[in-house]
Amino acid sequence: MIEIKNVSKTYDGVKKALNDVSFSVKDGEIFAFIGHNGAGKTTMIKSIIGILDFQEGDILINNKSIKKDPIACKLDMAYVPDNPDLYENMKAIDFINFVLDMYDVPSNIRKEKIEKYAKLFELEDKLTDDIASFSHGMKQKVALIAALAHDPKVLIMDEPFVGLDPKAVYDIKEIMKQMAKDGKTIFFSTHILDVAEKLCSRVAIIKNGQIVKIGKMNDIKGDESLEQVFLELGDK
Amino acid sequence: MKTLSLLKAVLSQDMNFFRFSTKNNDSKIKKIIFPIILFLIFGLSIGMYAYLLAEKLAPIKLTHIMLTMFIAAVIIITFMEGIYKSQGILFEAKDNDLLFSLPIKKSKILFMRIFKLLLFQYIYNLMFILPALIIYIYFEKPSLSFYFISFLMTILIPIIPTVFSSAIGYIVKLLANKSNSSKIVQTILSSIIFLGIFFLSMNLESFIENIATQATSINDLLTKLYYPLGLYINLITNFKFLDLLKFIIINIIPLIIFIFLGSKYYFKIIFNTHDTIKSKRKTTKDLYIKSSKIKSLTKKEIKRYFSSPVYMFNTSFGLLLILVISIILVFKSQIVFDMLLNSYGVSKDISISLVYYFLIFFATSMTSITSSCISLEGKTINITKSLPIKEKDILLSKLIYPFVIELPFLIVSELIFFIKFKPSIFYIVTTILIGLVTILLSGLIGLIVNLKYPKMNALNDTEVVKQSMSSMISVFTGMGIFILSIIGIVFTYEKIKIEILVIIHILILLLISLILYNILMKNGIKDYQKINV
Repeated sequence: MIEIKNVSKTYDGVKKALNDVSFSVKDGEIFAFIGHNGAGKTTMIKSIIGILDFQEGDILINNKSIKKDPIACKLDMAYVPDNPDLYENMKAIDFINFVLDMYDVPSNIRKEKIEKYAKLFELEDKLTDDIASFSHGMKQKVALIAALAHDPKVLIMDEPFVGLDPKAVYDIKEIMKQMAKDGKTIFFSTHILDVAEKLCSRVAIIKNGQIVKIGKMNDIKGDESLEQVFLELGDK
Repeated sequence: MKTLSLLKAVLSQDMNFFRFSTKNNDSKIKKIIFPIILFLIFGLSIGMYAYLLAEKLAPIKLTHIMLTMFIAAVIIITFMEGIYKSQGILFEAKDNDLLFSLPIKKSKILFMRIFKLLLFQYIYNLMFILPALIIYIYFEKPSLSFYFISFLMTILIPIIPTVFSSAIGYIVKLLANKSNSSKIVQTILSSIIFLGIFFLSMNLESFIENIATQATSINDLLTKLYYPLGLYINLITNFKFLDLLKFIIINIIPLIIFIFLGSKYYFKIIFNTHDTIKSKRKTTKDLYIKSSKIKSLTKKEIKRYFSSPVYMFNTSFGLLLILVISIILVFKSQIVFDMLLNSYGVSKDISISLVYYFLIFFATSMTSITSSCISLEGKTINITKSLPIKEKDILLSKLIYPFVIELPFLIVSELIFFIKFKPSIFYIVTTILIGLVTILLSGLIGLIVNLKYPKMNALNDTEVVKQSMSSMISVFTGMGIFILSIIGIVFTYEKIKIEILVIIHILILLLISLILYNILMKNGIKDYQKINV
């Protein structure tokens, strides 16, 4: 479960990137975070994951504060960045092993998980290749394998579908649904409103660092499409 | 307009060197003041050296010899630095795809990159040339033409060495590209060339010092040795317009030829670069082995290190030097010993074990591996930051990996020395200890400085390794500690027994390391958390 409590973040004490943001994402939910470029989506995600410090408020991951106990929070989470800037000098397997070492995943379990996800994303034959030789989509898949292989309770993804082939997009959606069924929390930002509409239990729209709309998909869009709602809010 | 925009884009990247990621005026001032003080101290030391030389040369009307010595040093430094800087800036820039997709002439892209190489060379060169020029002006009170010619000289003199070193960089890259392990071949080739030039230039330095005593023929010799330098001296001692024209043309023509030829072949080498090697691992069993967090983090750092030729090359020079000197000592011990004593400027009643102790200290204090390790992470720092690991462990792994890289060099070099010269147990222990303590100390200095001056959005590794505030401050701090140690020992040498001095020296360095470790674990962790890419 993710709880965002009155979080505010300013850059250099001037620009307010997040302004008193509060909401929560329950276990078993798939939650989409939508907004224009520069609305504050990545700042929010980086704050949740503990990469970015914020001045006011708190973020709880399974009732633990990211400010007070970041390690315990991170142990429950996995993060897939929007632009997978991975360690280009490593082989894919080395990178995945590196991430799993940080989560203390035993050898036998990691073998099973890596093989499972590598097969799913059709990367079995590429595991021993240098990441530098990979396309954007392949890097995204490597980041996903590393994130999923330690079986996180909370999965945070920044634009997870960008640059992926249709099969990979389908596979990720299926994984997200299965994780939600297992009671895991999934939080992701996206520009692809169609995916959010079909996949998510709830959605939040952020504009200029503030949540302008949040709720169940049907409550938010009513008879309109999510795209129409999003565009109308953007114009206000 | 296009050229201007391109120039602006190139310069905006380079100006990051002077830009700091804080809007807090206090910390901005603190961050700016330290490098300025360092620059001033370095400039003053060079100025003092220039003054001492000029003081002796001025009465016999040969002050210009002092200038030639400094300009010669600058030419050699520019040439040596250019060999590996060119490989990063010309061939491994991250903006290749962007620039090549735009309608810009190939020659313009190449020119901008050469200009970028030169720009930073000017900053380094000024630290040597400016104090020497000031001292010359102080002694000689030259006419207005001197100022104009010297300004031209400062702009023009690094061009030829930069062009030649870029050509060598091109050949190294071309040969390395033909190999499967291109990065390792590139590092080895660069190191061989670099060491060769280093030993040659050491001989050249003594050669110049020798002829300084028979100074009347210096201009002829210089003109034969390096024509543009001789021409400059001719111009400041006896101005002729024709010589000025020659001076400008001779310096600029190689650049034009290089850009003309380079724009034909340069792009072929970039498009043919294959940085990645596909290799299969031993067995599938080895693929899923679990490691401890620190071990895994350290392995990551080592892989990063060995993936960057410019990083490897820049930080392994001192270590390679000590290995080569140790090997040469076995065969030509007396010549090397005399050479080392001369370079330290001390009397011959000193034992070779003590000289070797300082050689190890010099090599390790000048090797600053960690001063780039934070900046080189770039955006990948977010991966590490998002993982459930303490910042302390991340910083510890960054302190451990310099040991993994430096110790093999030290162990082999010291073993060669110990077997050949059979020093006393005291020197065996202290030589080993000084290596270990200095690796720790320079690791701490580099890490603390890099956390204060991170450069996370560099276009290539060279910008981080060679052109960042962090690497400059760390190297100069290492140099400062070495010089202070020598001064301290020289002043107390006759009052306190040398063995006791060596022990005190190690203890002081250890104490500084402990203090810096505490600073790193308190302030360094905060600085690490603050980095936002």
